[in-house]
Amino acid sequence: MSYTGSGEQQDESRNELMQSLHQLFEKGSYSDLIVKCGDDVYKVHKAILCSRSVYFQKACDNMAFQEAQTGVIDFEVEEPVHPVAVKLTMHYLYHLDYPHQPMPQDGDAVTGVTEPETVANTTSHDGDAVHLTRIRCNAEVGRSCNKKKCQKHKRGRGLPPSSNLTTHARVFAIAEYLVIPGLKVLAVKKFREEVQKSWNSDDFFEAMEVVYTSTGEDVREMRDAIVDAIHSHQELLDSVRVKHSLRNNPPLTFDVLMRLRQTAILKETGLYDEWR
Amino acid sequence: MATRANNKIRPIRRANVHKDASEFEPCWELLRDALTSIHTKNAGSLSFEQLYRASYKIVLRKKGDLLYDRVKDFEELWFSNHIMPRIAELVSNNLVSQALLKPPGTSAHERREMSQKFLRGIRDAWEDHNMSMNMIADILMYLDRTYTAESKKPSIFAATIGLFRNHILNNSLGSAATELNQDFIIFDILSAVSLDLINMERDGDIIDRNLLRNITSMLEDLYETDEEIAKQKLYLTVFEPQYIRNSKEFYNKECGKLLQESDASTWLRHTQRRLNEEQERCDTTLSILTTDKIANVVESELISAKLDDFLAMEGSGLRAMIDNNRLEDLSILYQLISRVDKSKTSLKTTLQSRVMELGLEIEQTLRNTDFSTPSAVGGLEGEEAAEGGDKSKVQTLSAAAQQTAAAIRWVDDVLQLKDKFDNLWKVCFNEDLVLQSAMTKSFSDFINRFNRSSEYVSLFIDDNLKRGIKGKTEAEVDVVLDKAIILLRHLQDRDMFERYYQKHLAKRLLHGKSEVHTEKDMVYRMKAEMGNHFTAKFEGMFKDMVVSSELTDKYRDHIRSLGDIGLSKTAELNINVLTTNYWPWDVMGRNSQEEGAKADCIYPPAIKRLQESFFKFYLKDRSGRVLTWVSSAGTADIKCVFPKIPGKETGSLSRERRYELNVSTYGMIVLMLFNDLAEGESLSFEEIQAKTNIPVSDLMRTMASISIAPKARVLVKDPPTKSIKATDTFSYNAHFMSKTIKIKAPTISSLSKVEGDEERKQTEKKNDQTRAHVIDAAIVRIMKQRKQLSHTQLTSEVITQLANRFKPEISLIKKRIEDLLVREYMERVEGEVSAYRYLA
Repeated sequence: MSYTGSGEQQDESRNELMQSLHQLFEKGSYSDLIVKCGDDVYKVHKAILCSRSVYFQKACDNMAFQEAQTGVIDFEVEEPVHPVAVKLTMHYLYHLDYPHQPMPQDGDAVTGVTEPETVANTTSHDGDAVHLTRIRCNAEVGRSCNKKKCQKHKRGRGLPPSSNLTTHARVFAIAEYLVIPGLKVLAVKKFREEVQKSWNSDDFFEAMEVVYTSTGEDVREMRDAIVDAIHSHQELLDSVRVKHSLRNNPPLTFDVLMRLRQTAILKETGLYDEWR
Repeated sequence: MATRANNKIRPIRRANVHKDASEFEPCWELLRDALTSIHTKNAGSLSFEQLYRASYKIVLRKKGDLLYDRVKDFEELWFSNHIMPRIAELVSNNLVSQALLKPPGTSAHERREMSQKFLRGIRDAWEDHNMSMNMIADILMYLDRTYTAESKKPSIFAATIGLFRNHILNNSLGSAATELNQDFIIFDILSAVSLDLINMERDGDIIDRNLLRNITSMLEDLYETDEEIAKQKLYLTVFEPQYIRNSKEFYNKECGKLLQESDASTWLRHTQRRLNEEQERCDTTLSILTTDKIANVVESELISAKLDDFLAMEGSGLRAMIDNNRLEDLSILYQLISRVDKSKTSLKTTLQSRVMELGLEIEQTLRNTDFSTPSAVGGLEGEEAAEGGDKSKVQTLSAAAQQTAAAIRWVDDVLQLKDKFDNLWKVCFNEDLVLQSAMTKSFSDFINRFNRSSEYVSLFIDDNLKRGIKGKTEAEVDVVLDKAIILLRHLQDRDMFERYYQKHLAKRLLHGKSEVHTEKDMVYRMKAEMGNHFTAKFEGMFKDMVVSSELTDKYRDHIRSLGDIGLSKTAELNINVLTTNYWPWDVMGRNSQEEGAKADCIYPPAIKRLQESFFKFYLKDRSGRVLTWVSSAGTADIKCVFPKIPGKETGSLSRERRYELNVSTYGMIVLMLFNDLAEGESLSFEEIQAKTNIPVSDLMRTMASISIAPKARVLVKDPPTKSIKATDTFSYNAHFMSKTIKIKAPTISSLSKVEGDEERKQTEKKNDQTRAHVIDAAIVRIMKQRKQLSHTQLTSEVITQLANRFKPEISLIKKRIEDLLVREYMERVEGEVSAYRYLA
């Protein structure tokens, strides 16, 4: 598609579109499809979902299916579908991005769920409007949040309040399940960025488990990211969690092993630096 | 967000990688039940999410292969238990023998009903199967995306949809095969009945098009193998070839029948209808994939196969279409031929030969037509005929005038022919360029084959420009001029035309026969068409006329200022100073051997004085120029007085009569001799000749003009015959009277007419001389630039350079080259066969 008009004009038009999509998502107006997952209910639009995901397309197109008849898609909360991942996926479909959101640990009762708020930033970067996502601390009902004292605010905007790797792994898994290639790429990209800092965390170990159970062996992108992280920080091989995983998870062990061998070959042939 | 969920999120159930085996069976059971529901059309309660999840889980546990095989087995079983029996029932012995053996005696209606019933059964089974397979493929989408893709197996859909091909189309179900002892597969029957239905429709029956369309789209959805290679659709590999064969046969027969029973016109319309039908059939009943192929069949069977036979049909073929202006036939014909032959050869050749034939016919008709009565000509005045001198009846035309009329007739006919074919070209041939150039060539050919075309075209223009004054509107003149230009385009020997046009134009200008702006318009058009060099002389002539008119005015002022009343009273001088090179040789009096005599023509003293006065005036500012009087080209207005005839008391003769008589310059000289004669005296022809020194031939014409033509018979000739002889004597006609005051003595020289054979030979000779010079100039120009050239190269360059003017004969070029070699403009290159070098 070709755009006419100046860069500013393009940005403005683009903002307008993004703003309207945001409104549609927030208000659920004109919704013709309901997506449920656990207790979450999303009023969404076939035009947006079906055109981006073959999964939704098939579910809505053939009138023989219950989903097409009722206009409701009910996701069971079971691997690879996780409520937070569904939430972020829905967000992504309307915003082309999803906010930072740490995954609640299994067994934790999480309170004060953070709510993403997208702010359209007018500074442009490579001709695209960049959406900065900032996290607003949501106080528990009845408790006020003093912004100055709030830990998350103190860390500054734009910085992850805490590690987020498991979230990305789950988003990746559901993107694979729902067949949304763009989201897969985005999740891997975010994961790779964050793992630089958070490789030595429980979040990483958790993400590692998720990646190796939620998608098939042939779905390589996220597995490669995990193996790369282990390879770049080989001290991880000393950690108890990783050792445990290697012992119990043959595909992971195999991948790591192959990776070490590959490096060795590259070093022998003197191509290692080039490859890096 | 629409609804706020409560803030508690349950822990996700973690799948256990090691429980693979136990998880497969429940998932498969779920899927298997779903497959059954789908086949029995009970799918309303199926949840896509659940089924998709089940297949996803199986793939995640790496059991894709198992699932794939299970689904395939299930479908095969279902197919043989539920679908095949349904089809087997349809294949009755009757149907099979009807479709394959085609026994005579069954009515089309019966056949149609049976065929359609069978096809409906196939279609319904197919649609059920297709729909189910689509749904199953949806559910198993993840399996296809991962396991199937990686193991390079056909997709679930391809593998299951192919069951229809393997077990139904390529199979003979039921007992018909053994009972009829006939080897067949169901596909054979399907094709046979479908083709039968199509042929029924071609014969005018109504069939269920939708049904056929369903069947063909089924064949388009099925492939030779489960790999589903695009080119291997069953429609393309099996059905279409049979369809094309069948259609070929059908149209072959139909064409033979048309050739025997119909005429070309019917054939054209029929073929056009068939083409439209076949196109529509592809759109509505078969497949657009076949559109071009079936069009080719109709084109080759109905158009190309017997094209020449149809075109040659007596009374309705191409010739008849052209001759009778059957525009619609020709339009259709053009469209049809364009389909099969981009060069349109058959149409082109016939058109060309028809143009040629009709063109030559015009010439033939011309020879056979009697132009001796003016009615055959129209517009030419009888008076002009009279001075031919050798005709007894005033109403008949002289030979020359007849020729002129023929010329105009020829041009008119050629233009009409051109109009006719132009019209065909516009209306029927879609302004086709190939045909245009072919027809143009034929026109040029026959026009140039006629050796008088250049002269005739110029005469035609002459006639129209003169008549332009006589009441044609400007728009009408415009159309005529345009047509003249069109003809001009076809002329090859443009230098000949130029020569004639110059001659005719000169006469028009000198005698004020046409309007200057129309003349200029014409020349402007020629200039646009043929370039500056072509019209240079004509423009020079116009310039001379303008300058002359100014000169005349100035001279008149000059005389007045001199106050020489005597001079201005005797005569008024209207002078045309003509530049030698612009004007044609005969107008300039350079044609005859009597040139010397002409210069010595003796003028009356009064005129002589006038001439000398003008000489003096003219040379005052232009010393060194030479002025020659061209007495043969001028005219004079003479005021003459005829005194009353004594004894006549009534009628016009009883009064003094004053007339203004317009005669040629020679006429004036002769008449002035009679001023000095006493009453009753006469002059013989020889005496007049001696006194004036006018060339004999000119004098004869002059005398005829003033002593024979009744309108201007101011002299009485003895004996009063219709022709002038050297022995005749002339005297003053005192009894002359005329109804008009202004009288114009008809002058032969003012008439543009076709040349006689002798004249023409001379014209050609002159033209050849000019051509020699032009070729010389071209050769020198080329050699000067190229320095060295071979004989053939030089010859071809000369022809190219001169193409716009005329087509030089090769022998003439050769002769000129030899001449230039002798004159040392160039030399032969030594050691090379016929090559020349320019000598500076």
